[in-house]
Amino acid sequence: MPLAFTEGFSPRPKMHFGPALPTCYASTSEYLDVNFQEGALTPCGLEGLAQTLTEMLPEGMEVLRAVETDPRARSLMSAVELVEYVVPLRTAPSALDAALQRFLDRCAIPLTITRKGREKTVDLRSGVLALRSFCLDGPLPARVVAADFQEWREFPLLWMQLATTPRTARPTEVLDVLNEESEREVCEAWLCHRTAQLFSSETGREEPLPRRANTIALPDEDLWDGTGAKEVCYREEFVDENMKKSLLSKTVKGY
Amino acid sequence: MTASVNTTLWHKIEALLPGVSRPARYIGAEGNIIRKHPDPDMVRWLLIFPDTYEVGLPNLGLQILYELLNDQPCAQAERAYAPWPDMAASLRAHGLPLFSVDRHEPATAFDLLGFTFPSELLFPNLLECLDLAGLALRATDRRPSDPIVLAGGHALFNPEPIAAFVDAVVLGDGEEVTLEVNETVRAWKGSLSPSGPQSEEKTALLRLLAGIEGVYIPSLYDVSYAEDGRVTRVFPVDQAAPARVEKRTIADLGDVPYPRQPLVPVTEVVHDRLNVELFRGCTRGCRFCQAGMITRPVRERPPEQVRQMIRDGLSTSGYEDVSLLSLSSADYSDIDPLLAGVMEDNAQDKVSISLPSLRVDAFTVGIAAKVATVKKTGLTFAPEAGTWRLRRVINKLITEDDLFAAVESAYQVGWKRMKLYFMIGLPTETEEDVQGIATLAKKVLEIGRKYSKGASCTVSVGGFVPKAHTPFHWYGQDTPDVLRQKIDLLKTQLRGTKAKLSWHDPAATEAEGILSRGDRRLADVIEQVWRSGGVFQEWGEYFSLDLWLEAMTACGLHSEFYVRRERGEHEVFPWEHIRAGLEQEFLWNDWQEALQAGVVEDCRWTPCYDCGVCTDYGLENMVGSLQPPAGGSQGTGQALPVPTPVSLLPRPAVKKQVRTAAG
Repeated sequence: MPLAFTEGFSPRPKMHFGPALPTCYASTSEYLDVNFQEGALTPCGLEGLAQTLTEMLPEGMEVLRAVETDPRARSLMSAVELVEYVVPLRTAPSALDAALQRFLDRCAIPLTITRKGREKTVDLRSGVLALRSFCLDGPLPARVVAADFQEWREFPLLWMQLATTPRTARPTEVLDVLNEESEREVCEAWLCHRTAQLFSSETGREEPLPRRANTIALPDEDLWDGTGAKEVCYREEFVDENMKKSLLSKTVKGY
Repeated sequence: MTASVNTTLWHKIEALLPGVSRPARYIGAEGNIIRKHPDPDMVRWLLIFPDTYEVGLPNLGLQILYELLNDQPCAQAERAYAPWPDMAASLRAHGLPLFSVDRHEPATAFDLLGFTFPSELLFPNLLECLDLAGLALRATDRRPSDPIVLAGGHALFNPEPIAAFVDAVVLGDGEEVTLEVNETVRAWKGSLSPSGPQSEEKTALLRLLAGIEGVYIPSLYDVSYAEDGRVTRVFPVDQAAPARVEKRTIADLGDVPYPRQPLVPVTEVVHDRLNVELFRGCTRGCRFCQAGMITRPVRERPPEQVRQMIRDGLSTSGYEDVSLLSLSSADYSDIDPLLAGVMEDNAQDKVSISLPSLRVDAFTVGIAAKVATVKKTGLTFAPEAGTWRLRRVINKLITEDDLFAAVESAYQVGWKRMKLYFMIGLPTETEEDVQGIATLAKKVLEIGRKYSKGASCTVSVGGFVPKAHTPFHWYGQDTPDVLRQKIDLLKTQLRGTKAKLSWHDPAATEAEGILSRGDRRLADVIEQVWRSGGVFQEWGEYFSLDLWLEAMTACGLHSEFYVRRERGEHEVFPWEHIRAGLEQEFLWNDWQEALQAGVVEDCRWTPCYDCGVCTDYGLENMVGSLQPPAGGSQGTGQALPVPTPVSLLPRPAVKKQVRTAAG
């Protein structure tokens, strides 16, 4: 592929990732910006890009779409403001919803983390914007595709929306706090899934490349399926500098 | 990831992954992975590298057999690597077995478990893998329906320490013999009743396997010992077993162009590049070097095939670095035109070529510089010993001028870091020889300073372990204390210089020494080490000499006997019945020459010394050129500053018999 390379003694392809997916998480929503050599990629080449990459990637990783973006756009790292996860639970307390409500009712949840060998206390609560349980047979949270979770149809699923600043909370940290309450009835997770990464835009927060037919739901208006969905059209911008492609990749097993 | 048969353990294993370090070790999913659907007519192989995935994945031998077997209509092969202790504990806690990374099937779903052993300290991991597989450790305790446990690799040219744990050992090049084993097992499987093999049928299979050249069935042999503990006889106890088991050799590597589609891992591994084999065998005659002795004669891959393998390998793998492997890559007779051709093939791309195992001379550095298109970080040379006298003893015939010219041209063209590899504890070594290491390092730094202020030199020393089938297998190894003193001497000598000293743990050298020349009695020791938690003994964080010494004591054995004892001319070695083609008489004479610092030149370009390999196996060195490659004293064939005291025999007529008379 006609990739653009960094200058210098050991040139590397110009690629930029969004917030890293924790090890052993699955994802259906990962983004990657790739720079190509000027004029190297025709619109036709862009169409075939997703398929070509999917063929080359390890089994379980699929590139769903590739679009051209403005090279002046904010980096993925700074543009992603919210991430959403779905966590199928193999065990859960009988009063799961009440436990979630108690979590949300707390003003602050101090959490001690070790960073670069130093202990530091952060607030977990402020990073958790939404936390709900659902099952596949009922109404689904926005942006959750039922087909992705068929394996866990019999299990309760947790849906959470987490902020990326000042620090991205991890779903497992939320589970740990929930489990502090009880020794017997604990939440044990199957594979955690990242289901969405949201940027802010004029119209609210949205996924840069939604998975289903360009329809998204706006989290601030309605978090649930069906209502509030809105058509979003992507503008093709002509770029005469290095073309920058955003790739939406579906990582079924992300390691 | 959905596997096509219901025996896959994937979902259960996946659930363990968040709790273990480096989970990518266990998922497989490499580029060029072969997921062949097994059917009942196929013999199913699980090829196991008994170390971590990162170390095992690039192993060329395993990749060759993996692809070769899967190319056969009647074979199916998958791979497994030793799970790290955290994963092993997790598997045990959840009642899960050792599994393949290809389709995540349990080890016992396979007909054969094929282990490869590049080094002896991996032996306890054999037991770890067998136990995780749910199998009894000792071959005699396993059920007839259990998989057949097979092992091969350089370390098994003395297979006796693990003889009790394996059903069969394969000696030498694996390509042909593996297919013969496959065919034998296939026919045997076809003859079984649906209830599976009975004990007699398993024995019958082992007797059939014993008839394949290169296959050793330990259970068909017995050993007798003298009162002082020495082996007096190793003898077959079954008519199907030959008195001596000969290694297998591929006469022409052009016949086996594998691997065609190298595996590309999804996680970082060692040697993470395209590895292409240039040749097997080496006839430099370095006396310490087991690899050079047991892989004779030299067999070069045809240059057009090497070019093809590089072209195809790069395009199917996406790698941008190629490493040309052999025991001494600059000795490939057509190296210059070959490299020019490879460069031409890849002129458009950012491909970098490296030649590990560099010969020490300026010519070699010149060709390395031509092909290293990326930044030149470090270059490694292995003079092995500090003085010309000691290098004659070990027959590593590098003069100081060769080394200095090599280093000079390397610094000149932009390399800044030199790494010099040496051994300590070599036969006849004196304090002067050890000091010689420091002297060479200082001189190398001095040369470097002419070209760069940042010139550096790392001196890496390892304790010498005598290996089976070498002229040094009679020698008594240094104690860890003596090795430590020698390291201390080097530390003192190099203090205040810019040379950095690194060394291999002398305690590990001792344990390696116990196993390298060990006999069947060590089975109990290996088992006790494993039972005491001694896995991954190649890894500093898990190695413990105390575990080994305690186990030796508990079994009534002494490391002095195995490691320190200098053997006499008529010593019967535990591997007496295992043949790499080398005549014991040749090795003994070479050992005596060594003690006199007498040298042997490379038999590629001089008359035959009759080591036994070519004459016994009907083979010849297979080189592309009758002229030695250009270069320093090693390459040009310039007269060395000492006369060659070995008498030169005329090249013998090659006997076209494949097997020597047994006995």
